[in-house]
Amino acid sequence: MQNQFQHHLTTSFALWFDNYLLRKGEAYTNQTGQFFSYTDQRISSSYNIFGSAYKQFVTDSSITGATIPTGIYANSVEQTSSGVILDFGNGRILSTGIAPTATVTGSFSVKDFNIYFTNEGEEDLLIERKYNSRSSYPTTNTNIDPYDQSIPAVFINTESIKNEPFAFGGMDRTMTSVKAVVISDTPYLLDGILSIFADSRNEAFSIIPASAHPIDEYGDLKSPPYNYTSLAASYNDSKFYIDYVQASKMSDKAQSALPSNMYIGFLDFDIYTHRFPRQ
Amino acid sequence: MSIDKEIRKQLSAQMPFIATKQIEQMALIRFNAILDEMMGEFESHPVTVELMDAAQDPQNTPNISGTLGGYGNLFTFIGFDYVDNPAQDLMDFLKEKITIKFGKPTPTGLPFDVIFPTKEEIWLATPMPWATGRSWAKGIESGISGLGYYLHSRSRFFGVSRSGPAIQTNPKTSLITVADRPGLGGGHFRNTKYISDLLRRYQRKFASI
Repeated sequence: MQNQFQHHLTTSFALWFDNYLLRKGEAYTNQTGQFFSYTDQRISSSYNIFGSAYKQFVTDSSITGATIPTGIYANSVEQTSSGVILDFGNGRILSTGIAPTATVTGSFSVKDFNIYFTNEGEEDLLIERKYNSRSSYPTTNTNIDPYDQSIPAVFINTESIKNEPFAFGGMDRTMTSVKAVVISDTPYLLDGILSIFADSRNEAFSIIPASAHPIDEYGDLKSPPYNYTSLAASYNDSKFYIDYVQASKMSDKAQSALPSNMYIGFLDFDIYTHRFPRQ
Repeated sequence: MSIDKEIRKQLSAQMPFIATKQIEQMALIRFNAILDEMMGEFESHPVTVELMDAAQDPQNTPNISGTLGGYGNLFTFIGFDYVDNPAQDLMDFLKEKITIKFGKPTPTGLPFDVIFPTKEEIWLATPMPWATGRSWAKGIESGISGLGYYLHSRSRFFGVSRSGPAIQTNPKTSLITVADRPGLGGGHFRNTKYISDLLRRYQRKFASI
């Protein structure tokens, strides 16, 4: 199937959301640390895998002050990205040339909030899942499991799309309802992210086609460096705009009914664009 | 016989003010009639009826709006407490906020505005019981998760005596089973037109006064 409007929206919103949070909130932490060797059944055995104690790494070089890794050090010898695959999402590297016994180190920026797209309902996210909290990670001598979802995190779901007639010639106004559940392990971070996105009303962001997504199937950059500002500028002809955004926190009383001690917030976006869906 | 020029001028100046009261009365009658019609339609909307009924009897009110596929009812699905009456609160809000305001009469007529609450004001006036920044009225139109139902079922939040025995959790896991989750296991929440649609249609009617 060819990419559809929904795919473009998802790509555009995810990239904008990531950039907006990192840029407005400087929501990242620079780290230097070791990568630990482990095996992953989902990855070809021709690769040796080294995981850090963190995930997700910042990929966007337009974020001032963030360290975007272009390689790592194996036994103190620099290995550039041409020799290794950097899996930014899972906080690890894949290499065919570095021995599992090597000491691998690197510098990178870790997002304060992991960002996930999901189709799960809020009740499933909050009731039936268990999360690892970043503050509880051991940050030495072990890697984080690659596919576990960890908090603080934002889970984004495009809930509904609706077209309404807008202008002669077949132009519709397409309204998309995007809902995000924010799960934090501290009230400080929760207040911060809700405050940032509460101010995003009337923001506009470029419609970036799904094919232009900067990340490949391994989680590495397709053609580094990736710079959101430049990418968005190259697709500046058409925009989504945020017509309405509501940031809210789950009440303390309600939170006490949840299985674990998490701080929960919600971001509800109404996103509009004008298009010709029947052409 | 001709009327004195000065008298004619004075009569002419008084005419708009004499007519003003009559026009104002006529406009008010028309405004109240449309408002009554609107509130009647709101009261008879299946979502309103369901919420009103469930505020009196949360355990036995059926899902007449069909938003939950016939399982449970919106009141407990959203997670309201037994002391709440959200539809009544919304109705009171609308009655208070929808008003007519007359301007100064002019030689050509009597200007007036019908004041409507904005959508945002309505969203703020209809908070979810478990996240006050979120609106249940907006959720009726754009979607509501089953989270409120889960929270409603937890005795720590609402108290056992409030929700009563109609909602039960699995005693072994303390999680709600699929069968216990109307609108979750039995099917998802189905959005429906509600307050936005009503306001949009009646704004046009009020404009025709």
